[in-house]
Amino acid sequence: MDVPDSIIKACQEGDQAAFEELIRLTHASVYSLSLRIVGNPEDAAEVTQDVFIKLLRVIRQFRGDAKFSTWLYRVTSNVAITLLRRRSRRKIEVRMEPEDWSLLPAAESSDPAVTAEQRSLRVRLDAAIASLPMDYRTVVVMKDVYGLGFDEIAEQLHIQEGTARVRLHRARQKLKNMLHDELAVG
Amino acid sequence: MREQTEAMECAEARDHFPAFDQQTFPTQVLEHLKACADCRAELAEYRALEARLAGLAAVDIQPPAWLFGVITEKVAETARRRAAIYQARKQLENVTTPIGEHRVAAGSALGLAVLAGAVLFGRSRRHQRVGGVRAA
Repeated sequence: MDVPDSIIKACQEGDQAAFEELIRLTHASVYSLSLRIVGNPEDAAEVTQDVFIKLLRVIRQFRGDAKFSTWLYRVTSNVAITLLRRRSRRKIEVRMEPEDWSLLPAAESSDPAVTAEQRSLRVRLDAAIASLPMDYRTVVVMKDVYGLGFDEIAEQLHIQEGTARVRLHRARQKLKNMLHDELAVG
Repeated sequence: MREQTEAMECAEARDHFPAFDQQTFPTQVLEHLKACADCRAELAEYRALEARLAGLAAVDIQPPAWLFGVITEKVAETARRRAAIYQARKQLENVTTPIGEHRVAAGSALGLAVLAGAVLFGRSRRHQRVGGVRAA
């Protein structure tokens, strides 16, 4: 995700065209993170819409201390976790079957560092992550995939940092066992 | 017996591997890694997992084609509503401020009138009492 500073600044000043450009540049990333946390495309689309509506309100709070992408991931995971919490209160957890992840194509990327191998591996990684229990999935996605800190993960999930570390440890063990064959080859 | 000891050491050492960061491993684990090829291979799998997970964020999943349009529409609608609320608040402030000022002025005038009335009433009562005593 690459958003020029000029776009962010214009959005903070209320420029609607700039905001539309921001949505165009980032909505695939926001959708992907949402999907990896909530586990199904319908909820991911709902989270993505809510994230941009929330951004209208909070984008002025971005001070440039962190990278914009990290800040946006933080906002996104927060909205996604709120939805998961709402769903779990109603004891609803809708998630795709791991094999369905192969039906979701990778977005076109302008990043030349993204290789064809990474794209094909993406499906297997996403399917493995999706098969984890929700508690493990959220932590591994936030920490290992999107690089958020334990402090913010713990705060967003309303758990102790130690609990987040234990969940991550177990999630990694499970993922390693699931992906053993290809990790051993790689 | 020796095999069992080695197996135990491996299990113990491998408990640390999901932490990824080798710098956090106790010295015994690092020593064990030097001597045990199986555990080095196991650790290499964790390293590969770490790298692949970190690379996953760069590969986005294609959102549904309709999503961009729906988001921009909702955002524009929310922005319009927020602007309307802002305008309404502004207008309300413009309307309420003079009333507020009038209220302060009216309150002050009423306060002064009550004070003046109390003073005058007090004086007339005093005059009556003095007059009454004189008459008595």
